[in-house]
Amino acid sequence: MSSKADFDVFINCPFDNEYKALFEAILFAVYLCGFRPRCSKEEDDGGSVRIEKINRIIRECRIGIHDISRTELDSTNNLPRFNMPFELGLFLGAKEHGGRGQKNKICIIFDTEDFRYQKYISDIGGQDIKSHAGDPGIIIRNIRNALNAAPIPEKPAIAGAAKIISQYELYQVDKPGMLETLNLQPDELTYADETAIIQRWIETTISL
Amino acid sequence: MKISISKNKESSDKKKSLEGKWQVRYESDANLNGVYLTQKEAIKAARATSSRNTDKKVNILIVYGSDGRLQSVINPATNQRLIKPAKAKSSVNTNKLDMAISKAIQTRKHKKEKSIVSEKAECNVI
Repeated sequence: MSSKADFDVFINCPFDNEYKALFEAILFAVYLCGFRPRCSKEEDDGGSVRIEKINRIIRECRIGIHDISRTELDSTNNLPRFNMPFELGLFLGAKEHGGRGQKNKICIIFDTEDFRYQKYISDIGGQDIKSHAGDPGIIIRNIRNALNAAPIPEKPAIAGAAKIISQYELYQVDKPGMLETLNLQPDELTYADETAIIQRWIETTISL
Repeated sequence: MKISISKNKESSDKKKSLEGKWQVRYESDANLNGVYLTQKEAIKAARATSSRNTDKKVNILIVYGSDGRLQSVINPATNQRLIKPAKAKSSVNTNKLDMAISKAIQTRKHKKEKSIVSEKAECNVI
């Protein structure tokens, strides 16, 4: 019997404008495969401590998608962002040292190029790191294949990668019209709005 | 294959007996596969049909609400939603969102039909 956590996927990736297309592709692929994306942006609760929120979401998710590709220096501070490798470490730590429910966690790691991670985070060598080359189609294909291979009971049949990519392209065609009807600008779309739109669009197209 | 469950709103004399009742219908079949008094009974019947279906062809159960709007898309084998609801609470009005989605899909399909027609016209000219 599967549990709720089996279908929850922790998304650990950059949330900036540059990464927006890939982030959207990740959310789309996760939803269309029958899973639910979770990330620190799902609650706008300023009262809760960020690390506590992240720890709780990690605990509640069986699967984690981690993109450690953002190694460039920040243009303002001239320093790299360490959040993604840190959260990957928390996830791997939960898997290694957590209780029985945490041991079967599944980790999907992305970088832009093959073997590039060896130059800056060689400790994760031996894991299956996938590259996406900044291409939404590649990231969708890799996520689909990883989720399809995940040993989860009662998992629904997952569509092929080509089908999911073509659905994603149709979503991209429909999106500007939907936002116009909703009086929303693409840059003011919150995480909650974005996930609600993707989820409902997929449900509607399935029912047609 | 899909099975849909919806409330009948037919008010013609012929189908008066079905009015207000819940109907189960196969995607590929124009005929009704069952009529029930409540949505719960209809879902139960549709699930039973899909479990009897040994080649597992029935894999999507589409449930419409009494207002005719899409309620949920279910995996009949597990009775869980096929597309999991988002955890974050959106401020977007669901009625308005449904309207925006169907309008965008219609516009896309209309554009596609138009381009096919113009392509055919071009071919005829050549």
